[in-house]
Amino acid sequence: MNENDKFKLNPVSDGNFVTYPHIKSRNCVMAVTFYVDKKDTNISALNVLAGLLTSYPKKFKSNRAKIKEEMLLCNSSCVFSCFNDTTNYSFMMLVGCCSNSYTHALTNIEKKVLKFALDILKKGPKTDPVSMTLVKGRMIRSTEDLKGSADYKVLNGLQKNFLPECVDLGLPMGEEEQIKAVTDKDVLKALDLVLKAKHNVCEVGFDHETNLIKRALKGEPYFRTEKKDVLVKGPMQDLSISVDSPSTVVAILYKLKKHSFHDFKERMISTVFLAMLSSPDSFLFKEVREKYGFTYGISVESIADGQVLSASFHTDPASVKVAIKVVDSLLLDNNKYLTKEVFQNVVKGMLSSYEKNLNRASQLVPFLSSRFESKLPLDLKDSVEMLQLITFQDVLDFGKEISKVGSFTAVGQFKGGVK
Amino acid sequence: MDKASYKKLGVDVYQGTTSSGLKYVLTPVKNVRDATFGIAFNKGGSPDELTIDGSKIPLGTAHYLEHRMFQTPQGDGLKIFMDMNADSNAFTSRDTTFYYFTTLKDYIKPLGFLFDMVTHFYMTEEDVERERPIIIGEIETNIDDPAYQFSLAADRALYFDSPLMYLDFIGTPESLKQVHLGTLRKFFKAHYGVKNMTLFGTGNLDPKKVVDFLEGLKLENISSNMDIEKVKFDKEDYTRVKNSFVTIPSPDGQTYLGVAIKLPKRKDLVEKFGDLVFAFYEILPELVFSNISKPIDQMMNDGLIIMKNSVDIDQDGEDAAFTALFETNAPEKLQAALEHYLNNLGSVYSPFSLDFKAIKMSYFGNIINTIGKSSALAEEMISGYENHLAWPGIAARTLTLSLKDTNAFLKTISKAPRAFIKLAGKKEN
Repeated sequence: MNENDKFKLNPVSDGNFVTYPHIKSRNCVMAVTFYVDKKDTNISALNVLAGLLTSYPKKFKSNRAKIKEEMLLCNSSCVFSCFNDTTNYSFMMLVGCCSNSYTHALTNIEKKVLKFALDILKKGPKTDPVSMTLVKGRMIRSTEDLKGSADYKVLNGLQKNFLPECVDLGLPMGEEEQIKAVTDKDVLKALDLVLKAKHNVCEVGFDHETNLIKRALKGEPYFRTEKKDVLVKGPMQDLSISVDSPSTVVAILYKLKKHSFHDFKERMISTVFLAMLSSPDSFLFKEVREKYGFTYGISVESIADGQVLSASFHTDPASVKVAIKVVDSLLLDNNKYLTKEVFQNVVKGMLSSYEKNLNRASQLVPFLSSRFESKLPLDLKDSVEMLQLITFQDVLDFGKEISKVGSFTAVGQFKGGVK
Repeated sequence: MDKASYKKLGVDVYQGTTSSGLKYVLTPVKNVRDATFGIAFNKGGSPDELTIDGSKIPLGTAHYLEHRMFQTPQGDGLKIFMDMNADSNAFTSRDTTFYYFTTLKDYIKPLGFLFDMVTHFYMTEEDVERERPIIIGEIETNIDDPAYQFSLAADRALYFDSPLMYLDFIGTPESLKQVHLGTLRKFFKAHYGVKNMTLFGTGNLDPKKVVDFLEGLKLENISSNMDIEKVKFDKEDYTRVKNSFVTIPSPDGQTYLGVAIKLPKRKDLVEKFGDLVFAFYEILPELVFSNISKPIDQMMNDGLIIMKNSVDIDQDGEDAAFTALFETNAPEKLQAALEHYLNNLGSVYSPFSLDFKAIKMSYFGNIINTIGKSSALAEEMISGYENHLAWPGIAARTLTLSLKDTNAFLKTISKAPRAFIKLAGKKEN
């Protein structure tokens, strides 16, 4: 047997459905993603809908009754959420339950859980003033919490000064005023839009019950066709503000090499490059943490569909300027520090993480679902083979085209450093 | 090698001691791809030692040592594990320091390196100095967390003389200044011997193969008889709390109210309920503070609780604190509602409703998920072992708890002294 055959998942794809009947997992997970056009509603209305369906669905007399049902179904879950994507709003229903021979044989739990989830969606949310107030109140509170944190202040600073249109850096549920303004009519309209929206289904473990979903939801599939080019506002500068939170947070943005959204190889190279920066044996981690002791850890993330990289870390206020200088010199000159050894370790690590996820449906399903939407290969074997095709030189070439966009720092009050 | 089978859960536990005195606990699980192995030392961050051989042991020493142990004569331990296809890490709890790795491939080679790493002290004064700001950075990540500030205030409000009063057992910027190479060396010599070590293995493993390997290891008992001056925590008063109400500033500007319950002395609880105490601990957070409890659900529907932020049981030695933190706009009303609820805790669950069954079924679902993840199972095995029990045994007992026993336990909790902590937000000031 070929070593890569263990990654062969044999997906069954049919219109807007992709199922993985051959994956053996201890939990069953189904993700149904609805793609709602941005011009028809707003992120706050969809989030209120998601909150109401999760906590106050019409199917149940009370929130407690729903929780009890989930608990009796061996801690199953049916959670709704909404994300602001570059091109549309993605409204997701994520259904999950545990699965072992006992629960399957005695309770046929998969069927019960799926019926339970579909009922919640079809019957819709309660939109009485109490449920609306509770859900909106929690959303406002969590938005206020987020806005109060140094981490958010940094993201907000980056968005305002460098990436004005980047949805990844915005408030995930909208501004407080927009949340307050959502009415019951807005929620019902949002539900109607969701039920009519194009949607994709991806599942592991529910394959015997997919007819339930097929009968209940009749919609077109959705595939992403484009990537919106990120708008970068200049000039490049290092900005900072004082905040009343204890932490000092620094985030630096760098633009990455332009690559096509559907170019699987380029996307894989970008993934490997980012992994080489965030791995514990990366030069970035070693220099910033081990050599200079600026921070406990540095986080590297891709934003705007992989067009921009953000490097962020907590540090001592006195170290901010030097730390930014060090990170800049390391990242802009990354070819000097990237090594073949780390490249090989990262590739090995990615292969292990694919393998680990094979029987963790809760991680595998959202990952495979986003690949389905992007028309990327649905079998992990294809990803593994692509990963094995990538060379260290490919990554070096990718790394050469990095350029700095700017940085933003929220300087907090904690003065605990002992230098 | 002793074997215990837990058929309902689908796991076997193998325990034993090798000829060199090394204890092991192995839990193979079918249909799991990876395996997790780790060495637990039965000394964590608990501030129960004042000096070792005359040297002061500052708060945070155990955790400091854990950070530096990955430095080996062969290079960075994390990287060496990675070269062997293993992800490694470590953590320090109050009672235990645990070094572990997870792998999908051969586990024998990384296991050999793990033993080599934790039984050799290899670091210089410069390495130790360089680590200090990194650990302070780790401490800093907690300081604007309301749940951390609450726990710190709660344990100090509850206790007169308890190790739990030192939540900051990973150290403070001040205590860490006093940790030097000599401190770490003495701590290592005192605690990193075979007699203090237990090997845990979970997931895709063959117990016989592991034990054969362990028998072949040459382990020296490096820990010598050192003079350890212990801190005695024996003046605790379990009938009352130090402060029944404390207000502290909120780190993020929002208002929170937390309740902290000082559980009876562990010895007394075990005398009354036997080993069932640990089964109750497994579901206590759900029983008391989840929405399945009608009064808690009512508090949420009334808007008294905006969000539930954390529910924990923190244990050290004889003491255990049971805490819950809520975000609220009405701290006084919420306090009154919680007081009333906690005073009547013994009658919340009735034999005529499915509420108690729901909690047990939900717990069953959680167990199935935990057993399927070798690293999560390893953590549960250690926490069980800290109470001298195999976790699958505790889990199996939890599933058979009766409502009568549970209500009796809840009545005991109801009578325990408690404190409320308000984290005053901007609107309160």
